[in-house]
Amino acid sequence: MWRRSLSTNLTTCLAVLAAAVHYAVFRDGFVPRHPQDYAIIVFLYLVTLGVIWTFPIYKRELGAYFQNPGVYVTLAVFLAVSGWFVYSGIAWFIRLCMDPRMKYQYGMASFNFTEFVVKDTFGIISFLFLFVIPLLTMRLFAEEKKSGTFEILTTCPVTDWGLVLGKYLAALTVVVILLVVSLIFPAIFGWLGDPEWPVVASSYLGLLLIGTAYVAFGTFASTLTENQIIAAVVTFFGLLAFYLIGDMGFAGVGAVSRVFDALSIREHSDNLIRGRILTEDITYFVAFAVGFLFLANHVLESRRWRV
Amino acid sequence: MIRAESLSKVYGATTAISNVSFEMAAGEVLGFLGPNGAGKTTTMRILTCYIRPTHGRAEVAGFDVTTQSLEVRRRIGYLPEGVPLYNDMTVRGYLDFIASAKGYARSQRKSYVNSSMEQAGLTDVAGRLIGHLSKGYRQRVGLAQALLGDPQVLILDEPTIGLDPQQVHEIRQMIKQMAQKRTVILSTHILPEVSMTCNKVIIINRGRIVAYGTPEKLTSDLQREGITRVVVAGPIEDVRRKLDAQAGVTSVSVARKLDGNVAEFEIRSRRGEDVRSRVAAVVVGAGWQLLELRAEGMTLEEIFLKVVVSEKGVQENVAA
Repeated sequence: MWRRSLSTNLTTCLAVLAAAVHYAVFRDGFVPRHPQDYAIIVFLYLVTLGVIWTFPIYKRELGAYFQNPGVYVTLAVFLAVSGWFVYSGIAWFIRLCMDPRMKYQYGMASFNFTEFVVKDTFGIISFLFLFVIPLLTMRLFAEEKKSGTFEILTTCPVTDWGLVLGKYLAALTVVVILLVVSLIFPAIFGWLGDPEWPVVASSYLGLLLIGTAYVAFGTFASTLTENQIIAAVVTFFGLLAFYLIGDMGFAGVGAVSRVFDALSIREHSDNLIRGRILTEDITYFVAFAVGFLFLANHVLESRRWRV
Repeated sequence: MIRAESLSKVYGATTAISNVSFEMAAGEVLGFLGPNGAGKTTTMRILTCYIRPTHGRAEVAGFDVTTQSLEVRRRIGYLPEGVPLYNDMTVRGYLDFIASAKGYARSQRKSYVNSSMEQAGLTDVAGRLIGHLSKGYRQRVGLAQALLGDPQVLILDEPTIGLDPQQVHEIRQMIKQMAQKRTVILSTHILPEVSMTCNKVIIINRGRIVAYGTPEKLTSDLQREGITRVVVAGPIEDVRRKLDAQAGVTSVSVARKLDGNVAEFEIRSRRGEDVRSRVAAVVVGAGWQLLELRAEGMTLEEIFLKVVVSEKGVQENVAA
């Protein structure tokens, strides 16, 4: 009995705290008027609640990530590949600046470092996420189902939402760590050139949102199967479909094309990487994440009735 | 403490269990006996809220497994078949994780983890990775995990499978100890285990309960005839004929010839009739030597085979 009353009290305290923080931050600038604004707030609160509810699951999952050599390999390959693109981007930019014919060809007096190097780098990192995130999320549920530990876990008094959010947040944390490590690139930009820092910040917000959405999709795919390879493949092709769907319309005309554009991941991430923070883009990614987390929860629930 | 009412689970075209009902009082130890694929695991999974029954309902500690599953899960310790564990965690780390997943606060966890490690004899390996442990120790970790937080109900699926005889003995001792203040369900297909540890038995075959009761009740219910074995020194054919003529004896056969005119006879008698004293009197009265005399009960093994092989015959016999 005490257990429940304690967690209820904690939840109430945190909800009050979150409301206070929300009031302090958005008091002047951000007034929620539209449904999507409320969706953002609800999502923030859900995440906060998820952290307390699911702390043990989250903690174990994060620990498991760093026990696993696969994560280090993924991190290393990710940094190596994106580092290569950063290097070649800068090398290309130097050649541009050194060669007067290029200036003539592009019809510019000088080249913008942010436009030519920074934007490309973050575009490539967001593209690499398509390959990296399936590898991070594939094991979340598939591994436990395969080894049978899922049975012990789900017969503990933990709700399905607790499992989904705990594991989701753990994978998201790994992505955040990846982004923190990648801060080395902006450091190099600052050292070699003069990037526009607000654009860099906006890009990072964009990458975080992309990660939020991708990891949710990967979590969902991992609940579907006990085979990690299948989970990774489903995640990769599913995300690729969302990435390319904007190019599947009829050359930018008609309602179908507009719907496809609206569904496209690239359409929304491009804005953020250019330094434009639009509510519709934020809403898109948050809704994407919430939607697939709901689906993941439903898959877990249906398991009890099926096999 | 546990009540199952006509539980059924159907997977597509196959029926895993059908119409399984039983009841357990607090403190009882129930053995689930049956060949592989009989439905033992399915029944246990329903009781632990891992899956839901297609029909019927079940209650554990007064809570319904489908509608109050969290309450049920707070009160059970479960060891699934095959002891699935996280190989990349240490014993202590794993038990601490399970304790926190069961919802215990940090202050309580340490003492719970320590006491369950002590009960399962794991104190020496507390800091080792589970992946590096032997099978016997893994089994202990599984039991320790089920014991965390002192649950009222323990559900153990094949707790001794794949262990060497020494380990089997140890695990059985542990289960006996645990059973002293808890309600325990364990499944097995090893028969002596049940007669050693349980005070109630369910024999399940092809998803149906075919026998249900105490081991003694099953033995007496299913025993249609008594078997007495005697070893007598005397003219074999004469002895056989004389014994056969006794009241209550249905048949006598020579089980084996031991030496010259010494032989072992198997005397079958009607149920509930003790022919031992008569047999002894006859043998001695005829001037032969009575070397050995013993009555044979039906072992659980025989009951099990009988039940599983000829299901029909049993259901007439056992009014469970």
